[in-house]
Amino acid sequence: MERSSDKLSSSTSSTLSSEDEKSCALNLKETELRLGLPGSQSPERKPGLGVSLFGKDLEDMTNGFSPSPLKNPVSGAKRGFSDAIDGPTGKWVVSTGNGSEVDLGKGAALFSPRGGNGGKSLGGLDGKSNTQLPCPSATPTIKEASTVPQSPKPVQEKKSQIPAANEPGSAPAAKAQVVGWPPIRSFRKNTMASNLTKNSDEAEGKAGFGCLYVKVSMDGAPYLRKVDLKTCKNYVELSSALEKMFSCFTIGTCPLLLCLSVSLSLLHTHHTTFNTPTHPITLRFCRIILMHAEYKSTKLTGVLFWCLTHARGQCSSHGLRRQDGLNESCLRDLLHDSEYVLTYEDRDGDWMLVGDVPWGMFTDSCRRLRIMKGSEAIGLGMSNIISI
Amino acid sequence: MDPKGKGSPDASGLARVGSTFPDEVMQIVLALLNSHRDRSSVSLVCKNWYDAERFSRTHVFIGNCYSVSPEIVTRRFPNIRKVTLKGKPRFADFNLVPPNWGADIRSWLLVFAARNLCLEELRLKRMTVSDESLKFLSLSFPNFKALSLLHCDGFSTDGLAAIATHCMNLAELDIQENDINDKSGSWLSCFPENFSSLEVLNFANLRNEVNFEALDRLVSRCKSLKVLKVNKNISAEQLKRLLVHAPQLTELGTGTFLQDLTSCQYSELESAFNKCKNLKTLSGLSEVTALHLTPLYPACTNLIFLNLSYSALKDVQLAKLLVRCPCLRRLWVLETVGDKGLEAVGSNCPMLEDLRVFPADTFEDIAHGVTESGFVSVSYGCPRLRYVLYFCQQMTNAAVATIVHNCPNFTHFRLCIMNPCQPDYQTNEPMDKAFCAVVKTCAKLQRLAVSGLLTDVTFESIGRYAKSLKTLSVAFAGSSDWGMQCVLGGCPKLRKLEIRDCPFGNAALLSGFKKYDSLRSLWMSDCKVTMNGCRLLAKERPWLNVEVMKEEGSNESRANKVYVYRSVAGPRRDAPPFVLTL
Repeated sequence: MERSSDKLSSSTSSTLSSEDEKSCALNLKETELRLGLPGSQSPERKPGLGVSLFGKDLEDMTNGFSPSPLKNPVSGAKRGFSDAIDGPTGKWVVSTGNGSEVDLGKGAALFSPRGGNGGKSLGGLDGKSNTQLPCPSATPTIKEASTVPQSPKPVQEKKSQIPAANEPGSAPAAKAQVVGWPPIRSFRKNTMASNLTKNSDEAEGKAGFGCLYVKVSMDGAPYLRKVDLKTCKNYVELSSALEKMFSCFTIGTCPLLLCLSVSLSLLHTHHTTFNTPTHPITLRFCRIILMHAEYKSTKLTGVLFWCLTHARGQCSSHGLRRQDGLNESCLRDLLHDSEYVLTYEDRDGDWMLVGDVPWGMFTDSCRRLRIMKGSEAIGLGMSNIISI
Repeated sequence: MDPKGKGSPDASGLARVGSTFPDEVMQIVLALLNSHRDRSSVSLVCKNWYDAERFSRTHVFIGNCYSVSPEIVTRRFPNIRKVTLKGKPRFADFNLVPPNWGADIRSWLLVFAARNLCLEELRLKRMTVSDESLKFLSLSFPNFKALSLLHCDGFSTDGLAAIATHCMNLAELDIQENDINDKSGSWLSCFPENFSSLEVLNFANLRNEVNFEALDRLVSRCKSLKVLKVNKNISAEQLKRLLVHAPQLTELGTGTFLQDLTSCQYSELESAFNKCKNLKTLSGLSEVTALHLTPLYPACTNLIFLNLSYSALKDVQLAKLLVRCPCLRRLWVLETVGDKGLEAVGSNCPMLEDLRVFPADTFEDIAHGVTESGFVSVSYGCPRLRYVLYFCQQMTNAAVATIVHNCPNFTHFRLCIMNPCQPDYQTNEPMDKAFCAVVKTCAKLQRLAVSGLLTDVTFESIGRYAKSLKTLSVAFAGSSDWGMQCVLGGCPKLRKLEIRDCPFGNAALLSGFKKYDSLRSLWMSDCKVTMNGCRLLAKERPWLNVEVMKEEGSNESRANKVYVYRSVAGPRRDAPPFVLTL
């Protein structure tokens, strides 16, 4: 563990921020894994800690990461990689709070934004969108049923917490939503969404105008959920929202998979030309994960699979092989071991991989989502990987 | 009809009286009885009358499909032709019931077919209907005339195609607000070219484009067409063509009016509307601006029901329209009309009986929207108001007291203050006084939905004063078990009780165990009820179905979703794994 952490530190030490070293105080309570229903609040969690991907104390946890309370205090106890996306800078970070020896730090930029485009080239990974995750199915009532009816404050307080957690200058989040409240049928909500977006003279510049609910099923879960695509502004938010919803079903799986998979798809989509300094970082990152996959069983292999899916698109296969020593059989193994993949059914009834098309096109054509097992997803355009 | 013969022996004295009553008279009298309650009363008099009633009954209404089995229904009423069925608990509309819960029409259709029922009409609400069921329906009942599906799920437009293809005598096809897999609009083209019996066609909520020429021909052929509600893909120009073929319409749902009309099109549309003298109901009107409303004006003179709940109109536009609707009795609008729009309602609609104000954008705090003052303005202008559904951001006790003082005839009062547990925003008190005023003043109140910050005081009043109350919906309210106990101890006519997110626990649940025999159903979700409490109830009342829906990962002893209902059919045989019948 120390060996690999040294490597990690060396690769990213230059961008370690001191602020994060301070915040990486040992706080085991914060690392305590709790199960809440998606969207339930963990009010006693303190904000300000990063997500621990490779921390030492992770070995004690079953699903390989520690929850971060920070960005969205309304959401449940589990967090994923999405929280590692630093707000205002729009950079990808992998941080390891909680006193672990592996210290990438919050400021570490593994994928820095494209040259001139600043934070925008990562297509939505900007500060405005990623930290405020509305919970389409937040149920504060589960934990607070005793308090909500007795005092008028909790719900309002909850709402005011969300803007407080904003990075300055980011857009206000949609307010916390209780399942089935206000009592309006989904049909009406969806219809109003499509009506209102067409009334162009009503444009008020608000984010998330109207709503668009699609069903989400997950292989193995006993019931489906619905997610409002309009409350997510990009794939990252979507994957986070989904991860929260289904985290209770993914104990033992790495929810990071979902986040990373769509996030990296996004990277791929938004014309990332990898003949820049970030290219080696991409691959280095992949290598990092692969190394840790050895320790973390197959959970993170799905992550790697996706990294490679999209990294490969940008560099020659030759280069890939040379740099990482990976080969076809290795990838095939990864493919079979990867846990879940996010897919959607489009208007034509075809099942597509999430992340290929721009977000706007996706929300227009997505009819429903399905989190399917990686082994089943093999047919969905993965062939370019196998044919390295 | 096959009543028991005159003079059949019966022990009861009443039967002797009944048996001297000529059967022919009996038949005529019973044929005039339409009300279910009256028929139930008749059937209780004596065996003769029971039999006479059961053989003459043509329409059965089943408010909870699991309260009875299709076998029992068809055995008792062998001659029914019209069936109305309601399935899932109402909170299923708000995603509180997991999918695949049940209420599948299939088993009913199979029994109906097996018993050779001459099924003509089927009206379903919150049932699961598959395409196979629809196809089976279309093939098994040659006299089938009317299909109405409201808030149902499980089917696609393929099912509609089967209905259109095979039901030769179809008069009504009413598909409203369902969770339908809308594959294409080709189902409409499945009506045969010589088919002409349609009287009601409502496909307003389907998204895919239908073949307009096929629709046009259909409308031209069906001379008895009274109700036509098209979907958004029908343009104004196309609508005009349809209206020209069907000036006899009494209910119209328009398509979209988005494109700009030439002046020629405009006047043609206006004259088409002018010819529709019988129009009583107007709906649709989504994506419409002020300009597009003017052609409608000629048709508004006799309007009774105006459904603008999908039109984001502003106050000025609404006011101009309302001036032309002097007979309006029912108005559904979006909150975009604002308090000013509601003032216009108060000024222009003295005959108004039913007002519903729906929210426009549910997840954003909007500066506009309606407040208590809009509601108060309406109450001053519309004393006949009896049905109101009002979504608002803020309310005061004083406003509600004024409203019910102006309109004491409320039968349905559904107030939804959108933030849970919000107090009176002026006094910061709970909203108890508001609902106390409602139940004290409105003696005819049948349906009540409460919201805002409420303590047990509200429920004490409800229990004491709401003598006619049949349906009560409660969310995020109450302080203790006592609240629910008051309701269960009072409200003599209570039939449906639905509760979510309230601090009512086992004591409350068990206090009403005698009451549940007279309730159609009780729903409690996210309250403080535990599995043990439910088990106790099930033990106390073995003829009630006490169902608990289990969720993954939830506390084992908590009963998060409880659905209790009376049934003569015993526990469900088709319950999915997450539904436990105790």
